[in-house]
Amino acid sequence: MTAPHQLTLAEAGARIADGRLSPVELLEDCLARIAAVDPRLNAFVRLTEDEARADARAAEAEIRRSGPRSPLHGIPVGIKDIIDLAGHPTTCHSRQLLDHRAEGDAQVVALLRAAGAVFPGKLSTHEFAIGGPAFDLPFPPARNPWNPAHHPGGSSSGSGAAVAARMMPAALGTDTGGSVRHPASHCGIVGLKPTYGLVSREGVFPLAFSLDHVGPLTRTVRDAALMLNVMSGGREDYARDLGKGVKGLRIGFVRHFHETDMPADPEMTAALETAAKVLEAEGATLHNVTLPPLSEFAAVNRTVLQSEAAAVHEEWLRTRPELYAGVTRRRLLPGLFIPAVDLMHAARHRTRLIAAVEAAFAKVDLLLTASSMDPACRIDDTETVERTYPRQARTPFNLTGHPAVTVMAGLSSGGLPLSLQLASPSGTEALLLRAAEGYERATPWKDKAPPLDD
Amino acid sequence: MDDATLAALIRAAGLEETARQFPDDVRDALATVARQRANLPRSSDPTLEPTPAYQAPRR
Repeated sequence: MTAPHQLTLAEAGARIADGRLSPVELLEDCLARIAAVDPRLNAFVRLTEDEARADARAAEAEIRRSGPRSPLHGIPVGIKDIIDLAGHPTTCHSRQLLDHRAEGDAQVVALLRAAGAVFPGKLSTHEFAIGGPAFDLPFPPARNPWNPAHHPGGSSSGSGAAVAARMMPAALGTDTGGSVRHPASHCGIVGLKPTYGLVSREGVFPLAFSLDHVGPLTRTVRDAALMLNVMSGGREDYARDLGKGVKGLRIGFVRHFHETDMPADPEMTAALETAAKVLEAEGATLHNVTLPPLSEFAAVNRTVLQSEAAAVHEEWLRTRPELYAGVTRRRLLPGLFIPAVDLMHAARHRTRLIAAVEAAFAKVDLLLTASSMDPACRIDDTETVERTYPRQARTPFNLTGHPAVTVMAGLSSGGLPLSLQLASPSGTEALLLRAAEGYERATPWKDKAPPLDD
Repeated sequence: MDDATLAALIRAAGLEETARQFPDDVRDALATVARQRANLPRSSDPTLEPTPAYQAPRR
């Protein structure tokens, strides 16, 4: 029999709904899993187990009395520690905010709580979602469940590690330059960045206002849809088209991102080509699509991100810079030297980049791109971490605001996850998730688990 | 960059104390921005509007 912590969100929700599983049993099994594996992975910065146990007991009683409020009722969901959970610290993994306590829930947490989710704890992040992995912070960096000597991606590093390691079925992350999709890619799970503005950022510590998104990390595409249904305030059913597959969809393959703009690791390139063939075999038509070079997206994203982040951190950079990790300080400081005219050039070129992606969507339904160009490197290899972190094709969709999802697309010869990314027009998450689930169903990857129990 | 220019830029950014504590980090930040500026696309079209929008988009 499958242990409760091994169940996906949808599986656990179905068992809770028909009485085969109690929220208390599920939570206790997840807490036992956390106790067993997290000392190797550092996904959590704080457990909130007493409160979670009380909420699970209340969920159990309510479900017995009147049935579940939603598929998330009684489901443990981890919260990245830049998102407010009422009554608990939001440290942003930083000495700057060790004493900060959230008075209320972030809007997205309030929606999850209203749907019946329970919260076992706060999850590790790169400091302020920008500085990491770092070893000079109050909490150690999260590690990759596929190989704890490697980094899990970031900045939602604990969210990626915890979900991949089966500590809970879902977690919240934030994505400014790819920070939901990066850990999802490196940990072999699903990371969804919804359309800009679809999920509230109220109660989420900002990194860069015009680029920040809140998104779910889950083990399956269906689970991402169920999370988004709640996180977006129930405006539509994003799971409605799951199961329809990719037949008849026009998919634009942006090969130049990983072939010439930023040549990817050969194993990543091979995984993307294989994925394209799978999508074709499933009935999609593949088209080569050319967008502006990745370097243009990266340059504009960097200028906007650094400028907006510097506005958030200006006072602390001037008055208590010693409280940041070195890597965070070094990533934030450039923003204070960017001329205003450069920010305007970036903002104006952003209009052109958005128009180019919109023009592509006039011809195809979805875009297929690389996510990361490399599998995760060793966490203690600072030079390679610094070199490979920017080698990615996620930032284009932070700039344009289009929804994008990453899913696992293979395993490297070193046993680390490979990945792909799909993107679609704004507000078409149901289509995006339909296509991602079609790929997921045609491949074996969602059932692969990190070798933590070997 | 000469020392006087460096000092002026640090003063303008309000980072004198930070530069005293972390001189290498502040120098690196200036070098980083100089490198990035060279790669930033610049438009000569005076009518190109920024994103986020400064006016409601045309329907």
